[in-house]
Amino acid sequence: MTEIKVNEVTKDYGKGRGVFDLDFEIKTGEIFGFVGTNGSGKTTTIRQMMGFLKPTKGNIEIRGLDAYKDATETKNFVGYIPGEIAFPDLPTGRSFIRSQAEFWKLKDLSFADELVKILQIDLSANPRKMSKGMKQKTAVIAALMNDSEILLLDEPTTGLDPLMRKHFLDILKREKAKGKTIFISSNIFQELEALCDRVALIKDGRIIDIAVMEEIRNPKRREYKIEFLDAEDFTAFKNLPYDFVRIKDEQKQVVLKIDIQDTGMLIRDLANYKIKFISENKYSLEKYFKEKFERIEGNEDDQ
Amino acid sequence: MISRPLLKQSIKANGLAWLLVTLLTAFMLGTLVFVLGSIQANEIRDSLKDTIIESELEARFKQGAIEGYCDTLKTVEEVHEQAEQIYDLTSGAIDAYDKLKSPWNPNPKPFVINLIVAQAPEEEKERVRAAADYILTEYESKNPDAEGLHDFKCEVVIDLLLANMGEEMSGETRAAVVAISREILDIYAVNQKLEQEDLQKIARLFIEEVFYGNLLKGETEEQKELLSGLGFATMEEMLEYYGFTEFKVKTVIQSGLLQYISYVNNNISHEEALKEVSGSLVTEMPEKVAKSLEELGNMNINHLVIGSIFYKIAGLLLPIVYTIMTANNLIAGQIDSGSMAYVLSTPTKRRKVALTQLVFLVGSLIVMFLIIGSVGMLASALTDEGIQISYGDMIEMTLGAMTVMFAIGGICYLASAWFNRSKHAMGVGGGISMFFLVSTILGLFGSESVPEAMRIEAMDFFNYTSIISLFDVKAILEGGSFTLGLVILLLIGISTYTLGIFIFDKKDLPL
Repeated sequence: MTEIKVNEVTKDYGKGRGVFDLDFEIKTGEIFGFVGTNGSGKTTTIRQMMGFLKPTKGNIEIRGLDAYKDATETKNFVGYIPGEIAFPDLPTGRSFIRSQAEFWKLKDLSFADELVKILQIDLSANPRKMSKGMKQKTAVIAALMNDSEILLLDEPTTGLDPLMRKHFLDILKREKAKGKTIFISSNIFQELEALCDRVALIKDGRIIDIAVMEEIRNPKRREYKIEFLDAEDFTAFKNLPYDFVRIKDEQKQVVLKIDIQDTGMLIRDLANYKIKFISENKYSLEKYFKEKFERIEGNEDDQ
Repeated sequence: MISRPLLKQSIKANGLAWLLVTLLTAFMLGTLVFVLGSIQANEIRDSLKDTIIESELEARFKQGAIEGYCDTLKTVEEVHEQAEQIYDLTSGAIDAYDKLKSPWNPNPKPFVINLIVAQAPEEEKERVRAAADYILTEYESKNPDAEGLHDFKCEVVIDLLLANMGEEMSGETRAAVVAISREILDIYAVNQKLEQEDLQKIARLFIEEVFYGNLLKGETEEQKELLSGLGFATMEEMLEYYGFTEFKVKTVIQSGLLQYISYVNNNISHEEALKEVSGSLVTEMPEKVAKSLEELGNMNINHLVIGSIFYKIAGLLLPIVYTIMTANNLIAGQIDSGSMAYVLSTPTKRRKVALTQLVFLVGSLIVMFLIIGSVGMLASALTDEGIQISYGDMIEMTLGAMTVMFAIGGICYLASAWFNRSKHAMGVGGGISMFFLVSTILGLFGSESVPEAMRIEAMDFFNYTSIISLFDVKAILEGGSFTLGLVILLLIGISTYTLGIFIFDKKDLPL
């Protein structure tokens, strides 16, 4: 089932700024990552999902409702962490959470209390005087407390220390397990890699590619680095018909790619040689997009 | 229609500023009313008025004295001419009688009479005979000694003089003539002649002597008019109020008369000398200044201070500052900081957000002025004399100020809804509001609320560049139509609020 549908959305601010021809869908229960450099259009996209900006062209549907026209109705099942965190002028974090609960008409604050415990946050402080991390945690609570089915998170981990980031990502995983649909933007590949089902790369307002993380985490072809003890073994092996990526003579080292079903053959071949080590070069989202970039730029150069 | 949690947020965020502004402004009005009501700010005006009246009275006294002096001087000159003649006649008759009288001639009277009559011109003969007869008959019967001789002569002369001057004299004039004649004769007996200065002195001293007494009677038309104009029953009461003792009046007219006499003796015409000496403060000044002084006298200081200064300027300053800040905090500030995202990430319509903030802004201004107005009326009730501004007028002025704030609130609200940046919203909304306030301050100096002496007509221009001018305090206090201006202010408010809501509902929000 499609939870969020982005239909040919363009928000043109002129001078090449904005987002152009965005067209993708996010399915129920999916964590959809959105990665790109600063100013690439992540926030503009999320703001249109929130109905804060009106698309110049196209539209976004959330559960079949128009994100702009029916903005108020969609908020019944959407939680949001804005990119820039600033709280209303209220004396304490707790009064802010209570006020948000009133807006949601939320009576039961047990989930919020649980989040407070997990994130180890002191809500007696004035939200305007909180540290960046504290603010971020408070914002997380405000976004999640309504137990909304769809979460739109704009760089939610900025300002969190590594431990807190882990706690936060755990919370998101739990939410996913509950069946939540999550749209998360970030400029950190690694955290999306571990979390997301799919990740879209946006550059200069256009989506370059949408990576399916399952394919990156478990690719059909894998890359191995092998170093040999003896020069003879190294020479003999490099003459075998493998798909070598690199051969380094000084270190007696080869890097090769092999389809996963042929791994047995490689091991059998290696049994004949003395090897110093063998390691898998893990494929990463960053690598994946780097390759994409190179290919695109290569194409552009050709033209 | 409105969001309760958002209203609560707005109250918590802006309540302190509201309270402070309300209390300070209410305190300002309360103190003003209390001070003006207790010490009577009109005392200043009244004392000024008294000073003007005092100088006017002094001028009138001098004028009266000079007119009296001129009449008296004429009488003195007239009397002098005859008195000398008659005195000479009397002296001659008595001298001749004394010389001729002897044991051999015990009754020289007929001879002396004949002798005198013979010297007189033909047409006077009859009169002289009668006079000489009278003198010598009196002399024979009274037979004064050397010491009483002068007194006797004077008596006789004055009797003859009065007889010569005719019958139709009033008692007062008669007394005046008697007194004057005596003065003349006293000097004549010693110096054998009188200079013009002597005559002037006699006339002057006479007026100085009788002026205060005549004044106290307050019988002339002019004096009666003066009394009723100033609201006094008797002249005595009036003189006491303005501090004119007998001595002071005498001093005033003495200096006036001396001045006048010296002018006249230096060949300055009567009219000019009179003008110089008795020109009052009001008549001496250029017409414009005189008019403005008169206006100042009629001006109501309470109307100026409470109406034009407090309700249109001083009392609006802090509420306008509050409005600029609050209107910005309610929308633009929250968009600029990004905190508006939290309200709008809940199922709360933008329209509802805009309306809630509007209700808070307008509501807080209404309650603010209800409190300020009530404090003003309470202070008025607590003062003895009050500020002589009716509660009805106070209520109307409070409602008027409320309407002004409604319109200014609308302008600030529209700016706040229009701009996403605080500095732009405050710059535009605050700039326009402050421009109106400052225009009103400048315009005050050109308005009819200030006395002409302080008025700079050209500055009236600024009254046309401020919407606060639509709030016509003068019309409220002094009667006149003021509803149209307030209706226009209401329309300005309603249209800016409506436009603000509409813009906020439709625009892109960077949240």
